Order: sequence, then structure tokens, then C-alpha cells
Amino acid sequence: MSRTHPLKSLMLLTPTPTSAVAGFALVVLIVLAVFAPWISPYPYDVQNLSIANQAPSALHWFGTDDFGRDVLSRVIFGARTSLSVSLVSIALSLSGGVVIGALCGYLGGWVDRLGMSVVDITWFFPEILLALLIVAILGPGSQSTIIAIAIAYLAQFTRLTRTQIITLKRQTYVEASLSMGAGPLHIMMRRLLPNAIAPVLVVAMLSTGNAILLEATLGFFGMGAQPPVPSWGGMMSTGSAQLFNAPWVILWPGIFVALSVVFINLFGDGVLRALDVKARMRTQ
Amino acid sequence: MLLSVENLRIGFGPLEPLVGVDLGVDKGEILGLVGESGSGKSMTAMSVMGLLPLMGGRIKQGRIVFDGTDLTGLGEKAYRKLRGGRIALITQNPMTSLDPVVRVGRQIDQTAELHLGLSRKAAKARTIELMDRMRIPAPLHTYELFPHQLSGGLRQRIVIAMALAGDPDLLIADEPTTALDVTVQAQIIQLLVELVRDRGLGLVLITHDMGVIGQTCDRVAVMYCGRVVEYGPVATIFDDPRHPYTKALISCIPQVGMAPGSLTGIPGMVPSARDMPPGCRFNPRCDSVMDICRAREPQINTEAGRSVACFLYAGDRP
Repeated sequence: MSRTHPLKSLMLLTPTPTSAVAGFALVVLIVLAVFAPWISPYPYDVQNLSIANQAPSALHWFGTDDFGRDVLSRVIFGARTSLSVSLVSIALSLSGGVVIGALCGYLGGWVDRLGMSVVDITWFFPEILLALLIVAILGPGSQSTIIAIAIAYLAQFTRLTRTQIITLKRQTYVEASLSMGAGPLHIMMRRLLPNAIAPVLVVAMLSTGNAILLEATLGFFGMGAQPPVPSWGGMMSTGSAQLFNAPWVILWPGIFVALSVVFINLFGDGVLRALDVKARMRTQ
Repeated sequence: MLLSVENLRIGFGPLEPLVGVDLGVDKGEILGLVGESGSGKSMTAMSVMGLLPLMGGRIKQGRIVFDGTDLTGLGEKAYRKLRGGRIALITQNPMTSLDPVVRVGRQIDQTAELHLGLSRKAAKARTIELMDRMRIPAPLHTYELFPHQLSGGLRQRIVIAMALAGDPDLLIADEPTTALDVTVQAQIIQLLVELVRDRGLGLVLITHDMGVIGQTCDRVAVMYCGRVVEYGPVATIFDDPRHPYTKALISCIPQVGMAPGSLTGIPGMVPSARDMPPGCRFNPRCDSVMDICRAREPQINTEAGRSVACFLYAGDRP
């Protein structure tokens, strides 16, 4: 019955050992990305053709690529690109989706119809196709990748927020708030959004995994970050040319893409379960 | 009169859930509003709160006069000041009337901040004081709790504190005890009665429990299918109920010592708004129905401070 300590509520977020481990691995990955210049053993862009395509060794743990660049350093710097692009794009998508969805759900009527029809257009296309289309229009690069991914995931956040708001605005405590003289702004910011946000955040977390995949795919097609800036997708693309004589060039970025997606999903699952438990406690 | 509702008729599209509601409540007075589910009690509360447009309804006829102002023509902005500030509603179910993600103390604060323009600190001090007056144990501690950590009775006290936070003159309590244990019910009702007597509030107590009405109210309005069918001082109505529906309601109060099986209900059901019987709306269930009841709607007859809408007491009886 006592007030929960902040640390304790953080523990609630990771109720299973699996998601705790996943969460820790994600923190490690983020640290790698943030401190890449200090952590990576070599610069990511210094070429040395005399040591091209060397297998993993004590000097170059992950081997070297066809320009003789250290793969480990490039994977570490690639984490920067992949994580920042996917996080920023999901953050954009999330905030756009929440704003549009909340307005549509709250106001209803023609605003709802107009907003949802526009957003639904993006739902007609598979994410990859839509993202490729947008990058094709905007031109390749990290910025257009971010915009492309943000638009590709906009519809799901909008739809989810809208549904939440529509259900919540019929709740008794919203009516109670109205009968206390609350205006629309108060209702939206204090009653609706705080109650609606939890599932949206979980979906955002799970979508971040997908966004990493999408970013890698775009990078693989040469649409993402442009050389010499390393991205996991781009590295796999160059590595695919020498899949048989230097498999480590494609393998390591591939492993990191897979691992980060798995960790994000496991962690997201844990958060989902934790929020579920709390929701059940509330409704008894 | 602090609040008087005159001949109120409201419409939801083609439906008319209220067709003629007259009632009044003064400061320091408790008016009971009684009737079965669907008789229009909550709808009356919503109309007074000005929340009808939000639900898709509108006032077709009649007036709602609060402290000298007609509320039917009031704009939404002015109404917002009134809600919570001068008229407060205690909603039906304390289990769902509180925001699950906000600490209960903050929820009380917010009303005070909104209407009295208090700072967060001042609002908290007031809230603690209010919670103490609601006899909520350890208010400083309870302030920090979430609704799911409280029992039903405590939650209802929080809801009442919330309603009082804006310092209103009129309180509308919509079945405040329906979801609670009998023992807790009595405490909550007693709390409300004390508030009315001490602070000189006006209280409209909506309930379907005739027993509660008899115990607490000064006056009672019996509603059936959107009409007030009988209205008057509680003592008079209980001593000498006139409308067959009022009589039936009173006979439904269980008494200790009654022979087993002798408790009677009212046969039949409340007709739906889409399918109203012609004439008096109670005629299909009435035990003293006459031919005229099926043909015409009875007028309200007022005499000696009480009124009834029934042909049995009609001056215009043919």
C-alpha cells in the first residue's frame, strides 16, 4: 500500500530475467554507439589495401573488408547510424501518430475522416515498398531514410492512439472531469493522453526493432547512409560481393542487426508484460 | 430557490427521454430524486450540468434556473466555470470515476486549481484538509495513492472531496452508494447529510432506494419514464402516497419482520423510450388503471405543497 520507490518501479519494467538481460545488452549497444570514437580500435574510414580481406585475427577481431578497413570499428560506428536512424524515425513517427490520432479520436467528425483517410493511404503499401518509394523521391541518405521510416510506421501509431482515445473518452472518470468544469485541453492532456500512452509506447519499442531491419534493408539497397559512413545494411551490401572468400564482412553486421532486433523485442515483451500487470492491478 | 427546473423536456433525435420535469432545491436542503433505471434521473442531472450537448441531446423546452440565472441559454465557456465551481456532480460509480493513472490527491487538487486559482502547494494543503474532513484516514499518506489502492468507500470519499474542492453551492449525487457495501453506504449518506447541514449546500440525491429517501431527504420527486409523477415533502409523501407508482415503490422497501415472500415487486418493466404506451405512461403496470389513463396523459395537480400527475386525483376527472 505504500508509495512505490522509483527504483522499484524500474524493476517492475523488467519482470523476467530474459528481458533484464536484453535490456542490459541494449544498454551496452547504445554505449558502443555513443562512445564509438573512443571504443573502436581503428578509425572507420582509413583504408589499407595491403591488408584487404583479412580473416579475423588478434589485430583485427572481426577481420578487414576489401579496402582493408577494420570490420569491428565499422560495426561499432555502424551501430551509431542504425540505432540513431531507427530511434529518431520511430520518435518522429510516434509523436506524429499520437498527435494526429489524438485529434482524430477526440474531435471525430470530418477531422477524423480526413485525417484517417490521409494516414490510411500509407497503410495500402507494404512498409519496404513505401520506404523505397519515399527514398526514391527524396534521394538516398540518412535524412531521407529517417523520413521514409517515420512515414512507413505513422499509420499504426495513429490508428492505435485514435482507438485508445475513442474508448477512453467514454470512461466515467472523463465524464467526472467534465462535470468538474475541465476544458478540452485539460481533458486531453491530463485524462486521455496519460491513460492512452502505455500501449502506444510498447508498440513504439517493438517497432524500433522493425525500424532497424528496415534501415538495414534500405542501406543494403544503397539508399541509406552514404559511404564512407558505415551502416550495417551498407556493410552487408558490400560484403555480399565476397560472401565466399571473406564471409566475415557480411556476417558481423548481420549478426548485430539480428541481435539488436532480438534484444529489443525481448525487452519490449518484458515491458508489455509489466504494463499489463499494472493495468490489471488498477482495474482489479 | 437555489435550483429550479421548470417543465424540462429534452430530446435525443426523435426520442424524448424527459418530457416534463419540475423540481426545486434550496440551500441547506436535500431533494431526493427516485425512480427505476431509465426513468430519467441521471438524464436530469446531465441536463443541469449542461452535459447534454456532449451526449448528443438538447433541451427542447423548459428552464433550468440556478441562483437566478437561466442555464439553458448559457454558453459552454460560462458553463465550464459553473461546473465544479458552483454545481458539482458526484458520479455514479466510484470504481470508475477516478482517473487510474493520477494520484488521488492530485485529482482533488486539479479541481481547486481550476476553479479557485490556487497554486499547487495551496491546493495540496486544501486537499489534505478536505480529505481529513471526509474522514479519510491518514490523508497525507492517502494523498499519494492511486485509485486502485483504495477501497470502494474510500474512493467514494475521494470523489466527494473532488466535488467539494471547487467550493460549490449545489451538489448532485447520482446514486453515490449503489456500488458500495450497505455499512459503507450508511456512512457515505451520513457524510453527505452532514455536509448539507454544516455548509448550507443544496443536494440533489439521486437514488432508486426509497429507504434512503425516507431517511435523509426533505423533499422527494418520484420519476417515471421521463416525468415527475409525484413531488412533495418526504413526510407527506410517505404518510400519504398518491400516485400508484409511489405507493408501489414504498411497498417495495423491505422491512425487518416481514413474512417471508411477502415483499412485492412492481410487475412489468419500464417501457423503452422508443415504445411509450399512449396516455399515462404507467398505465400498463398500474393496479388502479382506468379507461382515461390509456387515452390521455394526466396533468400535474398541485395542492398544499405537493403535486401528483394521476387521474385518480385529477380535478379534471371527467
